[in-house]
Amino acid sequence: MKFLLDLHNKIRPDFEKGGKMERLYPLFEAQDTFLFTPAETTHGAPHVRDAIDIKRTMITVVLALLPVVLFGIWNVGHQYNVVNQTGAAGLVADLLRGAMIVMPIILVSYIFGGLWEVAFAIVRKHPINEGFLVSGLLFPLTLPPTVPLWQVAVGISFGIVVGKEVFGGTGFNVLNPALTARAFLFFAYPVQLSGDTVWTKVASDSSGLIEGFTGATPLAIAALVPAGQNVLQALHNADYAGFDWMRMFIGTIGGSIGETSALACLIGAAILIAMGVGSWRIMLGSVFGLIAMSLLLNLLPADKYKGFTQLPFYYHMVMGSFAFGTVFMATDPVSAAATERGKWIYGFLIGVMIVLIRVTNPAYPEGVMLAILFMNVMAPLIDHLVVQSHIRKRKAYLGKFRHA
Amino acid sequence: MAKTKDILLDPLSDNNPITIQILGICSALAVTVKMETSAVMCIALTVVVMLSNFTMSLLRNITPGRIRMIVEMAVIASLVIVADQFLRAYLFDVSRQLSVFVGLIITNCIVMGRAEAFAMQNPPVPALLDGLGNGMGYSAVLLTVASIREVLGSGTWFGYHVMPAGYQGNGLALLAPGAFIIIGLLIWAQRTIIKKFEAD
Amino acid sequence: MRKDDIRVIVFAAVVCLICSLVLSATAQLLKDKQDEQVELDRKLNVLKAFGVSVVHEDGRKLSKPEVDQYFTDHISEVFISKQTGEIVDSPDTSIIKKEQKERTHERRTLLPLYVWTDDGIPTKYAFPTSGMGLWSIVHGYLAIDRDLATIIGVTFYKHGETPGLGGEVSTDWFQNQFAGKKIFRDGGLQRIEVVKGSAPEGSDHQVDGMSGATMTGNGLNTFINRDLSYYEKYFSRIRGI
Repeated sequence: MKFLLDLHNKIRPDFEKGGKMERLYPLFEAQDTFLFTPAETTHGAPHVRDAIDIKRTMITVVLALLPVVLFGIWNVGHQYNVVNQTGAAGLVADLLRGAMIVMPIILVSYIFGGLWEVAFAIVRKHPINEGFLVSGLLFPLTLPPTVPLWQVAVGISFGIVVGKEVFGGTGFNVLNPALTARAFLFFAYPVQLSGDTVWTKVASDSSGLIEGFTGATPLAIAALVPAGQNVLQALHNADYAGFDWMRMFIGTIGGSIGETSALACLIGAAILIAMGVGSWRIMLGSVFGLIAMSLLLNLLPADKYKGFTQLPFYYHMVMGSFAFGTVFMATDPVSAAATERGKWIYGFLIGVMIVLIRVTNPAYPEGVMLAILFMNVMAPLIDHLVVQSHIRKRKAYLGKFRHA
Repeated sequence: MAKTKDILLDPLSDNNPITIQILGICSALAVTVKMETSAVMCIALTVVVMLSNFTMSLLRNITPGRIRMIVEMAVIASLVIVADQFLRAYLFDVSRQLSVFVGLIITNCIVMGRAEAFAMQNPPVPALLDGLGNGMGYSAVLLTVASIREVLGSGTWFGYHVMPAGYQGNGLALLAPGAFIIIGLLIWAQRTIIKKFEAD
Repeated sequence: MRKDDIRVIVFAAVVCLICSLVLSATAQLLKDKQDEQVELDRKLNVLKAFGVSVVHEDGRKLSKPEVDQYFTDHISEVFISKQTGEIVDSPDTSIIKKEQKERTHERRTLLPLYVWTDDGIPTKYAFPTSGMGLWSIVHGYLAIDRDLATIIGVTFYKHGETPGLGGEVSTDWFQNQFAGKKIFRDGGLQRIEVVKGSAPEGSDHQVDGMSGATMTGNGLNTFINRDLSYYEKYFSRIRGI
């Protein structure tokens, strides 16, 4: 380590003001702070003595994502081996197969996201933000394993540039960049991402073409159950092993890489909450919102409305990307509401809208992405209202003393 | 003659009705899926804004101030309907694709804005040129947006294939929100270049 | 009333008068031409359903005389009563005009039918079909062969479905699938179905769905078969003659 530090300090003058590679300072700075504790201290008051900076926060999120990533890799490999009847089985075989499919997607996302990040850092002369370490990992997890790699590159580029950089970079963005990238792909290339068929990677056939596996996701199946029929029965009869609650909770089903396992997301949620990085208010709020809306829909007469309305809330929770979206997307501190009461409202409305979009909108089988993006836009308004109402209350409270 | 040049060229960039004044966005979103429809829309709007500027400029000294706006509205609405009728008769396919958006030129702020801001204070010939300039400024943006949308979305330009075979169209470019984003990026690019609105 | 007010009113009146004169003059002048265009467009769509290529090799559309030639040579338009299935000999033009505004057959009483004749013998039939897709009414024509059982062609010419998903209804690959499918089998109507995913190999009544557009496909299933059942009243009368 000493040797590295010496080397670093030796080349430091080249990158600092007046050095020959001054323009590339952001690159050097990223290295520097990533590997060593920065020597700089803040100049103005107030000073907070804390080990937490953006870098540490982001690393925590990446850490919390690890269970999801690992499970995703295993599951993609597992589904591949089962659906294609490759004969390969066992943990190692599944992991290897999954890594072969998932790693290129993550790599492409990091490379292209990183390129844009560096480009903007150099042009705007600000240090590289570590936000893209998270965005660059979150984004591939929302994608089906069958996604073409060029779409990953286009998607993350759009997410970083339009979702973040046009607003001024990390901290100024209205929308979650990873979800912006996902939404872009969803609307730009709906055939690959519309989400009503199972996204298990299927092998090339002899002619070299990729054949789609035509099954349906649990949400797509539930959406098509007609009035008067039992939605749980329909789910149970679908797929090669039936969509039961436990199976969907653990996540051994086809789907986007990171979304299938509610269990892995729960572990991630525990890490985020324990480290104080993710807001438990948002997560809980969104769970309450989902429960409230599902119960409300359950009240509709079963023989008149489609079967989906009768789906119990605990099924809604493990289906689609509710767990993943709530834990990792909705809690993004930049795009979420910032006030404590605002977080409750923000989370609750996300939960409500997810169920609403899922059940009532015929065009979108899944509502998590749209619900969170919509509430991202609403978050500043919620904060404003919360602060205003607080000010009014304080005024009324103080007013009592003045007149007493 | 420097002034004439300004009247004509200013709206193309420094005072562009769409990217600088943010007027006429509605039709810029709606008709720019294809070059063909955009081009027709541009011509229709340019003709309307020129004629309405010319007419209002002729009437400027005899129009009573109190009903000024209503008279402008009546003149513009008549011109638009005439233009729409002609399209229906001679460019049926395009007119059907443009559907209500030709009619909506009536509410296009550019036309009303130029009549109110320029034609009411200036003689007919400069007013005509101002209309032409603004029409071209509008067209420049519309055609740029349409080029991007048609090439990205359908892989064609004026209906001719320009992308390699097997190109998969970008569906977002075909949706109105796609146009919204493209216009936003254009505005970003233009303001970065001319630095008129740099934050202080 | 002030003197100024009178001037305002007179001015407004003159402007209105001039505007309305200009407008009615244009509308009157262009009316024939416009009607002609609407008519031509309708005929082109009918021809397309019958399987006639409506564009020349250089990409030009068929001209009006060429289209009219087809219609005088081969195509006759009749109206059948939705209730009885009989051809209405001299249909009430006011009803036809009124019902043209309806967007689907559901509320029509007279249904238009185009009959293609070769040397006086009817060989093909085509009729408009339309109904709700996912977001919008999908409009099209369907043509069937003289055996009154085989589809010759389907064309959907107007819709507002999502580009890339339901919007695929207007593409050739989707429409061409319908040719050769059977609407009538073993003495009864057979449902035409757009399935989710791929249709079974060799199926005579199912076609591949558009991926990601199940609801649009379901819409087509509903209205195509509904319209087929309306026209079947007439077809069952002439079948076997």
